Amino acid sequence: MACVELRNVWKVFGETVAVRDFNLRIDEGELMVVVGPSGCGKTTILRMVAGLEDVSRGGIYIGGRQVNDVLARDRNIAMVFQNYALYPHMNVFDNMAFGLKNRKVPREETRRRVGEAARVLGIDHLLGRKPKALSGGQRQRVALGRAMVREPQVFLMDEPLSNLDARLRVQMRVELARLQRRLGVTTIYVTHDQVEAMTMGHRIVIMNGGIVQQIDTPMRLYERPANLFVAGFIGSTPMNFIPVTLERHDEPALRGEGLYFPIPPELVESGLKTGKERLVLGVRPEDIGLDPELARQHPEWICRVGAEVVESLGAESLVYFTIGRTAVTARLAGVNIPRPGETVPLVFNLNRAHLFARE
Amino acid sequence: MFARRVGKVLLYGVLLWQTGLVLYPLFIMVTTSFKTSFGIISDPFGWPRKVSFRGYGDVFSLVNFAVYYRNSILVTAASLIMILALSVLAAYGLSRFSFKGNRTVYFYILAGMMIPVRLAIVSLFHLFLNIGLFNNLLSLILIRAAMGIPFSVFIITGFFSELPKELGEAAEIDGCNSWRALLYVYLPLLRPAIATAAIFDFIPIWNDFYIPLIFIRSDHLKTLPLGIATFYGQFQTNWPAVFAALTMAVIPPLVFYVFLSRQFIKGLTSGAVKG
Ligand SMILES: Nc1ncnc2c1ncn2[C@@H]1O[C@H](COP(=O)(O)OP(=O)(O)O)[C@@H](O)[C@H]1O
Ligand SMILES: [Mg+2]
Repeated sequence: MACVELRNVWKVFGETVAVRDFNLRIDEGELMVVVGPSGCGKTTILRMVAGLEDVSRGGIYIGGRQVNDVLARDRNIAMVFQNYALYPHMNVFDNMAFGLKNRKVPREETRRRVGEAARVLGIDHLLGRKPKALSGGQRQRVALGRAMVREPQVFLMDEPLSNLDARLRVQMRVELARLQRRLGVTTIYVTHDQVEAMTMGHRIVIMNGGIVQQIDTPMRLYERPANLFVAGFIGSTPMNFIPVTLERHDEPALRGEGLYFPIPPELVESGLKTGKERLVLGVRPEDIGLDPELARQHPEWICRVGAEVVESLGAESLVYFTIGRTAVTARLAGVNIPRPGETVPLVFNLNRAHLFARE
Repeated sequence: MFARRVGKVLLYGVLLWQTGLVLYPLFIMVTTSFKTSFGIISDPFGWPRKVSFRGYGDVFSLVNFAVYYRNSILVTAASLIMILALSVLAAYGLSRFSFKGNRTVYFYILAGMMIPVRLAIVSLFHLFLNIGLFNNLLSLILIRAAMGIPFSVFIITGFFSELPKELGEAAEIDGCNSWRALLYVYLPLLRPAIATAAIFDFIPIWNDFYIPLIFIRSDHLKTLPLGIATFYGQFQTNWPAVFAALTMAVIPPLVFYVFLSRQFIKGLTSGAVKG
């Protein structure tokens, strides 16, 4: 086990800056998720930690030792590739044992470790098969097993679940998190799926365009997004963004097209911190609703809106409407769901809202 | 249903016709080798009236047939090994390592396909004379290797580039250096490409008449095509011996093809030569 640290790491491909001044410290045994849209530099970071890609500037440290000039095979890391990269001509046993054979691990020891990993992953009946004869989920497990038997200092996983179907993905997500906890190996897990990130990560790095947006625990990312990008990225239904201006006469308030909300001091403060007049109000769909308690306390936060489309998801429903010219979504639980065309008073929970500078 | 059956019959008809077209000359060659000289002239395409082994006897008694045979096998095997080993290494470098001038080197090698050796034969002759390899089997091996490498590099590089580069990276992380990755991960996967290149190279080297004709003087260094030519006299040709020699000369390519045909077909159908 070892901690991993990246200090002021840059990666430049010709003209493109793939990773810009990246700083991150991953503690021993931590599962760190790197998440961001495709092309934001996640894979590049992983490959630099693995030693498959040179670092343009900055330093990478594993267990406190700088490894910039250490070859991939000497870094004692294991990597699960997005396409698994199983050796097609070797059976499952040989795939998993290959790394041990190269390192001259005794045959008995190899057999023991592969057998144990296969049992943990539930693939011990497949050891004699070639990768071609395996399903996607089984291949995924073999790739994991190949990484496990090495007993490395660090696991690197590049979107390991993205090639699986939705149901299997959810199942493997839970299994992977459990396995990581059990093995306690420091892990960097790359994904573009925010749900995966939120459910698996001890901490999450959110990236965009090669630049770190925020590094935090899942809960804090949800509660305190550092900027518009993070706010929009996290959350299963994206956050609503409504353009507003901050007014400070006798009572501080937000004014936008079709809305006027007096707001609590904390929100004023976060609005002032941006240093801008023109702001964006961020409210999550789950913070807009029919809560009678909140409506009684803050009648000034009620907004009468006309429901345009209503999607029922079973336990809850998504209600789509427009304020001014901005499309807004509310996520309502319970049974008093408005019908399309109906006008309803929805209360915005501004205690949980965010203000960002408009771009 | 009926149309499909007709289609199938037609298909098999065409395939049978093709097979016959390929096999008939071989059949004629083999049957003729068991005829007497008189039998060949009186009834060129018929079944041998009287089976004679005279041709086979002549082949071994009149010339150094075993020596030619050995020379041919030696030259072909050595050239093939040289071609394949160098081509695999070149393809590895060209498709897996980025370095300055990578494309340039690749096109430089490919340009070799466009230069007929006959154009260079005079300079080659001088060259080998000067370095003392004239009338030496090594000259044949080196020239055939140089001729074969461009096309093999083309085939194997194309195939190599289609193997996911993550395989080599996984091997690297699994503790392989570049050599081990080539040997244990890439090489087994390149078999179809290597078989394809080997088959394409084997036949012209085995059949080569022109280069041995120019570079070989001594009888004991002759290869089969050159040796068999001895039977063509100015006034009289020993036809039974010619056909017996040809029949025996055909065996190695046939065996070679049978061994590699499965890999060869895989190589042709899996995009190795799609350019
Ligand atoms: N080998 C390379 N050569 C040039 N550009 C590259 C290379 N690898 C990645 N990039 C660029 O770097 C950026 C980040 O890529 P990547 O790390 O693969 O993104 P992600 O994994 O987040 O989708 C992209 O703009 C990509 O085009
Ligand atoms: Mg990627």
